[in-house]
Amino acid sequence: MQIKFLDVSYTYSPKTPYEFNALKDVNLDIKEGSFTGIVGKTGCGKSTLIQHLNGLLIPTSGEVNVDTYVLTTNKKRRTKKLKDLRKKVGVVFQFSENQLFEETILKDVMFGPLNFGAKAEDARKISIECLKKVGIPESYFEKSPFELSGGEKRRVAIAGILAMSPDVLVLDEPTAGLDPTGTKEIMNLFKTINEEGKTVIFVTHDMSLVLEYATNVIVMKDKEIVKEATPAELFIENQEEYNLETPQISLLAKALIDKGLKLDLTKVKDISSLVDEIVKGRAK
Amino acid sequence: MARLSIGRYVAYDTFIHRLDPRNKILALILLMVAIFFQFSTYEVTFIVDGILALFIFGLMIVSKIRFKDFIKSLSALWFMILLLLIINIFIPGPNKEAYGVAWTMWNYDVYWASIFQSIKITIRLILMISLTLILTQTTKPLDLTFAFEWFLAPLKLFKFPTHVVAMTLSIALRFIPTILDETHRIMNAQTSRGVDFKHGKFVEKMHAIVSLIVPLFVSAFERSDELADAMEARGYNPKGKRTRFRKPKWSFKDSVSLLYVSAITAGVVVVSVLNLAITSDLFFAFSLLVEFAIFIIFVLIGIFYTTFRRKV
Repeated sequence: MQIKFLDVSYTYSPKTPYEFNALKDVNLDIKEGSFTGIVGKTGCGKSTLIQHLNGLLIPTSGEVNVDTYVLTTNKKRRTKKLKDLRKKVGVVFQFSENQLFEETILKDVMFGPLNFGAKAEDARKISIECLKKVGIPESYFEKSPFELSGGEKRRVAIAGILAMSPDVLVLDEPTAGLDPTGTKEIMNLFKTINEEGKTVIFVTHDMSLVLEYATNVIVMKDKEIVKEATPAELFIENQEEYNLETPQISLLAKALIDKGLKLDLTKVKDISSLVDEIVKGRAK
Repeated sequence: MARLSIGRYVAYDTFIHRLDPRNKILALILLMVAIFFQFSTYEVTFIVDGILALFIFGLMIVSKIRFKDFIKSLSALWFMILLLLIINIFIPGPNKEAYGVAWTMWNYDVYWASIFQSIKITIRLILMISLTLILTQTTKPLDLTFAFEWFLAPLKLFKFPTHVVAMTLSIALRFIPTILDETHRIMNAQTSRGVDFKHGKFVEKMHAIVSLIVPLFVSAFERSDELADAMEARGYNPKGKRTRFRKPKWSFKDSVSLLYVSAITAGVVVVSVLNLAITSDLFFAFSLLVEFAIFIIFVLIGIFYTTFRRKV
């Protein structure tokens, strides 16, 4: 599932007083199997970008190619049936905890696969599997989703998308409102999914998550993509021009280098890799 | 966000936008009275309705309402029109034969009168919806509640909590766009889970709607709880005396435009009364003339007034 954006622009409510340009000439190439982080200030167009990935928004100009699907205003070129695309690209939105509605958690997770034509039995099987993956205990399955806490609801919502077994998983701030352990658990889950060969794209404001998990990072500013790089590249440089915070780990590593330690910054991702680097540096 | 903007205030700066909200509500009521007046024959009805329609569409053009929004606001009406037609065809009524038989199906006579009746109600409904569309698109919700509270003021004599009612109303109006945005967000989320809100059989559509309504209700209740807490935290007291930051002012142009609208309504009333008193061809021509004369005179006054004001 290759994803390509060609000169994509998007304008909300064109030709009204509420006209609002949210994306400007975006060119983008997301490779299959990558773990891509999208970062940038609030209101820079990240969420709009995401909605183009499964055809919720059609670019006002330009073209989005996802696999063989074409999203464009050109009526001859564009793909008519978007439902298949939505099965292949699963999107977990911001505040996804608000999308739950069924009587029981299990039923809610089964909702997606059933919509895409899975048999009830298969849907049930995969739903149970996904719920276990996100760490919802079996005793919860018959509970109402409205009894859950915010974080648990978020997990159920994520399970609901995972159960559709999409090839591309898109997450809009999946860890907002989760506690540190929860964040780690859920990010590790995405990492396993990525290692199974699926493309994962996530939006976040937490740079340490980008450093730790992402293989690629896209920086957006003022409706445009200003940088595409690997996280290590991004944080080694001075990224202040993009108004991004440097992860604590990078700061620590940089401070250690200043003090004379020899570290390879491209390999520092989290605490354990930093420790490894320090050990290696001392061995030299 | 873009798709669901019906009934939302649109911030242009037109003549209608600048009018006092109280004036707009009064004019709305007057025009609605005019729209729903009865006449003895369908010829008069359609001509009077036509004149009113011209006036109302004129208002829509002046207040820069997009044709697309207008059509969208009517989209819910098709079902009702069909229902009206069916009911009118099958319900017997007095003087149905007056206009003759339109066609016969399976030995059942469909009278022109029933079709005219449905058309009449449809036209009136469309006009009414256009009027409310004009009101909501040109008036800020806060100004609307101000007008509403102002009209309720006499009830204060009976210890009626006008402020509480107005506050409830203004909160309701304030949250319409928020809830529309929320609707949009949930629709996006459920569409991503394979729900198709646009196509599909009736049963599928019902299921799709459930997946939208339930989360919407839940979040609305949660939101109201949060709002109540936030208001209490800021010391809101429903019985307290309140002042307003912005007070609409009744100006000369409000008086003139209200006079204009009342004259139109008065014209319709006069035509209707005379029409019910004497029904003849001569009268028919005469009433037309009167109505047109009133219309033209006031259009002239309007043009004169606006140009005159600009020079001064």
